[in-house]
Amino acid sequence: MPLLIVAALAATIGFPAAAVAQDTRAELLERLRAEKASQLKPYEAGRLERWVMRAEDGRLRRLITPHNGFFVSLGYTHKPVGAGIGFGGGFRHDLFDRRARIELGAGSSFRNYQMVRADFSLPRLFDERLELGVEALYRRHPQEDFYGPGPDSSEADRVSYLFKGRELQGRAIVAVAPWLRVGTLVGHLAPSIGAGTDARFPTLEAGFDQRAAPGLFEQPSYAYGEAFADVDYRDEPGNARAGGRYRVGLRKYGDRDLDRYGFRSLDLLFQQFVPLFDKKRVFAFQAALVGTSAGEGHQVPFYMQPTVGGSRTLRSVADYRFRDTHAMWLNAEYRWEVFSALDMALFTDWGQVAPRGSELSLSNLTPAYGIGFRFNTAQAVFFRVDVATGGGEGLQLFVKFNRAF
Amino acid sequence: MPLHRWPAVLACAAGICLAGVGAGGANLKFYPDDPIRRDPESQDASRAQPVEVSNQYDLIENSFLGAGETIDRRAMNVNTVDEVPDSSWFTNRVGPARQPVLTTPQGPAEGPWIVTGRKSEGVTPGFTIRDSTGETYWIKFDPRGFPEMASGAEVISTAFFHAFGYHVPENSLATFRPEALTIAPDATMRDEDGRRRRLVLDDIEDILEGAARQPDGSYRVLASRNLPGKVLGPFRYYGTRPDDPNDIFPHEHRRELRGLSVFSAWLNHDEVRSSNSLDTLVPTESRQIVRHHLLDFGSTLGSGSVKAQSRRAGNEFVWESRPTLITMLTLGLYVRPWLKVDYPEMPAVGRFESGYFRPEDWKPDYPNPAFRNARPEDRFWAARIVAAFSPDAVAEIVRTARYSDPRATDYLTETLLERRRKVLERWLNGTNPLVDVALSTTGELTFANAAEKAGVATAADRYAVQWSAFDNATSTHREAGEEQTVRTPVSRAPESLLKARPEYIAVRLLAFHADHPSWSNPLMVYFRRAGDGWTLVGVERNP
Repeated sequence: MPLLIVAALAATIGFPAAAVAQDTRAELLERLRAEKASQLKPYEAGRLERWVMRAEDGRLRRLITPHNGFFVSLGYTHKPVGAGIGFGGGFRHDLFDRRARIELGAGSSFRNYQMVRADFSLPRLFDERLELGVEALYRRHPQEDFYGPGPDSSEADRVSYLFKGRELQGRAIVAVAPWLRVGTLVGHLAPSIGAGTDARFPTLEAGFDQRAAPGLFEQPSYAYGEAFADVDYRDEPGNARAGGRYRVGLRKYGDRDLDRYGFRSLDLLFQQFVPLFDKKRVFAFQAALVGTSAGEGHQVPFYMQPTVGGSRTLRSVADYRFRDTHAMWLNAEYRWEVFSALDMALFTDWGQVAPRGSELSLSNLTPAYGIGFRFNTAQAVFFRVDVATGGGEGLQLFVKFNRAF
Repeated sequence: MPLHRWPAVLACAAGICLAGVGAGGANLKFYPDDPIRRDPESQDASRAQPVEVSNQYDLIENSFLGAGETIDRRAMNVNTVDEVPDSSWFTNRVGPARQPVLTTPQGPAEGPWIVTGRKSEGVTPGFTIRDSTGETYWIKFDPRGFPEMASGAEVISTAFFHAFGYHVPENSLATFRPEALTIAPDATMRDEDGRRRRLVLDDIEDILEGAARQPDGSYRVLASRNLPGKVLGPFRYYGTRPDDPNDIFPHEHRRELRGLSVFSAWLNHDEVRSSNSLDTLVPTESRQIVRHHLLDFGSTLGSGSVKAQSRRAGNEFVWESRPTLITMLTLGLYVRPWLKVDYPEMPAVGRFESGYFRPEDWKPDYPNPAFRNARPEDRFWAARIVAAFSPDAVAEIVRTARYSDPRATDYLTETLLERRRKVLERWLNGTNPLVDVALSTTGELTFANAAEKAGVATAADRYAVQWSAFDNATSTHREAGEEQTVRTPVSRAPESLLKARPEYIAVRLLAFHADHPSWSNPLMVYFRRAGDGWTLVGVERNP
C-alpha cells in the first residue's frame, strides 16, 4: 500500500504516529516525491486539445491550402455573388527564389458555376514597387439573374441566363507609396450568353428581347484597357476600422467583331472609416458610382452593365436586382464591437440605376435598413449575417463569408 | 482530472502540505526542521518529456471549461511561517532588510553577431544570434511607430519579476547595425508552409522592415539569453506535470503562482498564461530537475508587444458574457468604461496609467486558475514583496530601459509608484497585516504592521492578544489568561504561561481599525522553545 494512503489512513483512524512517522518535514516531502516518482507518465492531451493544437499549428491549413503546393479552398477566385457555396483548388508556387509566382486553379459551386485560371506574376520587381502579371481565365456562370433594365424593373420578371467568358489579362501595377497604387490592365475578353439553368425562373431569351437586353443574341470579343489609381490607407483592408480608400478606374472596351458593343466605363469608389473609442465603434461609409457610355451606334451589353442589389450594394433587394448603364450606391454602417470576435452593425444602403448619368439622383434612391452580425479577427471578417428591409421586396437575409465593405 | 493530481490530493487528505497546517503526517503540526527554507526537490526528473501547449486551447479551457480546481484552500506549498521556500519555481530575493536584489544582465558581447535562425514563436518578429563568446540570444524588435516600447517594457518587467523571485531569462538591451550581422551557413527558418529552408538576407530585411529604427540607423533590440537546459515546454497554471516527480503541489495552489496575480496587476502583465512560461530540465548536484520560468514580458506596462497595449488589457477578459450582452443589447450605446480612459501620447510607453487602475479589478487576458484560487493571505504575501520596492528601487529599474525621452522614464516611474500605492493599499489591508512577530526571552511580544509601515494605513486603534500553550502532538491549545487589549504593538506573556515552560506557545493576534475591518481576521503565531528563548515556527493568516 502506498505510503501516502497509509498516512491518510493514519490521520483518519488515529494509528500511532510512529507507524508512519517521518522525522522531518524534508523527509516527509521526499517520501511523497518518491511515491510520485514510481508513478510517472507522460502528459497526454485530450481529444479537444489535440484537435485545437493541430488547427493552431497550421499543419491542417498548410496541408489543405499551402503557400506553395497543391491547395483546396472554400470559395475560389472570381467567384461571383450568388454562385452559392463553392470550392476551389489548384497548384501555386514561388519561382526563381521568390521573384516570381505561378498559380493554377479551378473552382466550382453547388449551382454549377465554374472557373479555371492560370496566373503568372513577378510581384517583387524594383524592390517590390512594381508588379507585372498575366492571367488567363475561363468562367461559366449558368444561373445569372436579370430583372430587366432600369430602376423600374419588376421582381416578377426575374429570369436566368448563362454567362461564359474567356479572358486573358496583363497587368502592371506600381506602388508609388505604401498608400498609393497606380496601374494599367490590358486584356482580351470573349463572352458568350446562353440559356440559364436556374429551374425556378424562365431563361432570359424567353422573357426579354435585344432591346431590353442588348447583346442578348450576339456577343463580340473585346480588347480592353484600363488605367486606375487606388489610394488605400485603411488600417486593415480585410476589416477596416480606420482610414479610407479611394479608387478611380477608367476602362475602354473595344468591340473586335461586330462594331456594335464598344463602350467606356468609369468606376469611382469612396470608402471612409471613422473610429471612436479605440476603434471599438466605427462609422463606415461607402459611395460608389459606375458609369458606362457607348459611342454612336454602340450599346453597352446588358451582361456588362453595372448592377445594384445584394449583400455589398443594396441589401433590401436581391443580388443583381437592378441593372442599367449607370449605377450608384451609398452605404453607411454604424459598427460596434460586442467582443473581440464579434461586431454588430446597423446599416442603411441607398442605391439606384439609370440609363443616363443625369438621371441618377439622390431623391430616387431605393433604401435599405438592417442589422448585421460580423464574426471577425483583427484582420478579416470571416462570416457575416446581414438582415435588411426597406426595398419593398420583403426581408432579405444574407449569409456571407466576407465583409460588406 | 486532466493533469496528474493524485499525490497532492492524498497529501491534502493526510494534511501534509509544506505548512503542516491542520495536522502533520503523524499528527504533528511542526517538525523539527520547520520552517523549511528550501523545498527539497529530491527526485531525478530526467524522464520528463517536452510538451506543447496550444494558445487557443489554453484560452478555451480557462475561459469555458473551468480548468483546474476552484476551492477555498490555503496555498499548499508555503512553509509553516507562511512563506514560500526556495524551489525550482521561486527564489526569495527580497533580502533580510526587505530590499529587493536587483541584477543587470550584460547582454550579448559587442562585435559581429551571427544570425542562426529566425524566431517563429510568439508574435514579436525576431531572430536568434550567436555572439562573439558563443552565447545564443533571442533578438526581438520594437514595432515601427513605437521605438523603445516593447524592449523597454520587457527589460523593466524582467528585472521586476526576477527581483520578485521568479526564474526568468536574462533579458537586456542591445544595439546593432545591420552590417554587423552575418548569416550562419546553416541558419534556417520555417517558411509559410512550415518547411525548414535556408535563411537568406531577404528574410532579415523583412524583419528589419517592420522594426523601429534609431535616428542613427541602428536598431535597439531586446536580447534574451537562451535558457540553459533541455526545453520541456510551458507549464500550466493548474495541476502538476505527470512526468515530474518533484511537482507535487497543484499549480493553482502554489503561493507564488497565486501571488503572481498581484505582481501582474502592478505591472499590467495581461498575457500571464501558459504560453509565456517555460520549463527546462537542468542538472543539479546529482540529478536533473525541472526549472519553471516566466518569460516574454513584451506585453506588460503600456506595451502590447507589436503595438501599444490594448485598452482591454487588465480590464476585461477576452470573453465576458455580461459586458458582451449589455453591449449587444444596447446597440453599442453602452461603452465599456475603460474605453474612455485617457493615456498620454508617449510612443515609448504605449498605454499605461494609474488613475483608472484598481488592483482588485485587474484581469489577465483570460481566467487563470491560480489567480482564481488566490486568498487574501496570498495577495498579502505578494504585496509585502511589492512594498519592498522603494521609490528609488522602482526608479532604478525603470532607468534600465534607457528611454531616450526622459519624460517616458519619469512617467513610467510615477505611474508604477502610484499603482504600487494602490496595490499596497488594497492588499496589505485585505487581511490582518501584522508581521515580524517576535517573542523575547523575557516573554515580551513585539510585532509590526505592514500596512502602516508601507504608509497605506494609520496605526490600529487597538490589538487583541490571546496567549495559549500549544501541544504539538495533539494540535490543541490551552488558553493562558484572558484576552489582552493593547494600544501599542507590544504585549507580555502571562507569567503562568512562562512558568509552565511549554514547548510551544501560540498567540492569536487581532488588529482593529475603523477603516479596515479585515484587520480583525485572526493571525495565529507559534513559537518553539529554543534554549532560553523562543523561535518563530508558525504563522497562519486567516487560519
